[in-house]
Amino acid sequence: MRDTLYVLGFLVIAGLLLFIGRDLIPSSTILTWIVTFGATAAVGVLLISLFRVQQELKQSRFELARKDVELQIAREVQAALFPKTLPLDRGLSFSAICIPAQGISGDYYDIIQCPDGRISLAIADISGKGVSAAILMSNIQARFRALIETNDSLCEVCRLLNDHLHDFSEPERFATFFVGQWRPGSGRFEYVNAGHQVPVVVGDGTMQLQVGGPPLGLFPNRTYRCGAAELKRGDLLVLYSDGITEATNPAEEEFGEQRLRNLIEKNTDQSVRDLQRIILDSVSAWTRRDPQDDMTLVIVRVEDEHRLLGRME
Amino acid sequence: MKVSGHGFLEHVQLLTPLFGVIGAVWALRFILGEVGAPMWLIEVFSVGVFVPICVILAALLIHLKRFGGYASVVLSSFLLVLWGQVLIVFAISLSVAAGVENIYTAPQFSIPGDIGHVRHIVGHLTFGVGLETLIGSLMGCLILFMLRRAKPPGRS
Repeated sequence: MRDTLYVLGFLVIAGLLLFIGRDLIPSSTILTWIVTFGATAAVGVLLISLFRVQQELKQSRFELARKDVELQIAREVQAALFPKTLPLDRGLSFSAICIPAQGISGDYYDIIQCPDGRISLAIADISGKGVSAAILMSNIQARFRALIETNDSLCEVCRLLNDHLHDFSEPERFATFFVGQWRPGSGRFEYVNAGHQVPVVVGDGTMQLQVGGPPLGLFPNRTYRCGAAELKRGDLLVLYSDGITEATNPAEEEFGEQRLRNLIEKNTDQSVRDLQRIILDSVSAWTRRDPQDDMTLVIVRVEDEHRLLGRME
Repeated sequence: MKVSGHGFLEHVQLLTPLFGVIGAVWALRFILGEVGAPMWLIEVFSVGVFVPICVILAALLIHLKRFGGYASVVLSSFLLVLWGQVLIVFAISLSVAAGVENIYTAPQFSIPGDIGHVRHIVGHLTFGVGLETLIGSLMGCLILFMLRRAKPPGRS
């Protein structure tokens, strides 16, 4: 309040002085003063504005760098969630890869050897992309790993996973999911397909691994049906996410399931690792750009029992 | 008398370097005039130009040193303008006393028929101080306002 009075006092005195000397200074001098003050103020304002822009730019760069670091950490954490070694000497050879479209992925795959000797493999595609999908992916991974080791019914695993996802994620969130289970020595492959892309099976006859139920997390209290297939030596099972088949070329044509199947059938004699490279190279050549969606590919071949197999490739 | 929590002498202390700058410019202009330097050079070292610059610097100092607020800017503007006008008046008086015609006593800056530049001097001390204080305060407060928005006090 006192400051306001002082300011008013100064201004009144200035006004009085202005009034007293109103005819004592030539108008050219007055104009010069006004122009000088105006120009100086304009330069001052400009400099401060530039300073402000520079500060904001610096802040933006800092934010960007911080986000990059966070993304890098998230990428490393997520990379640690994927299996680094695959089961050995269990009659299967594997090749698996996940290529994120935005640094971190909403896709998931896993290959687990359970204590009772079963080998479970899973692939999932979480709706959405980026960090939120990746967080949900890590949640599914943890829950799946806990369930599969103590539960040999895939239908039950999917039911519990579905309820978990439905209860703990937003309504619009869901995940397509395929889980399979191989019992060494039996040749029997059990599976549940919860709305995921139907895997390509190359072997004797045509198999469609599509028995299961709706995607996980969409509806509560759903039951899932379990399918089974007989796999023989040399049979090839290719699990993939929609980032592979829905990859588009510059003319917006999708790579497609048929093209993928043809490619696999043409290269069945290749090792799983080479087949993986061939598929990814073909998709890359098709799109001619960086991936627009997460791409995940799990290739499994039935080999001789007791042969040294399966390394993370 | 305390303005924005600081006494008059504290304001003078804060502005001492700026008083020095205006004084140096005044002296330089005076010397340049005496040695017959080109007019454009004399015009560059103008107290009238450096006073508004110093008002901006005062607003900057007040902001950076968290010295006070808008009232301090108004007082600083008044003191700097007064100092500038006093120096100009002193230069006019010296020139008149010495009978020298220079930029301070140039006809285009004087009133016709003003013997001894008395009205000219009074005009600087009244109208000059009044006008420049008003415009200077306005400008200084605008600068302080923008500085506070660009970099709030206490933010590193």
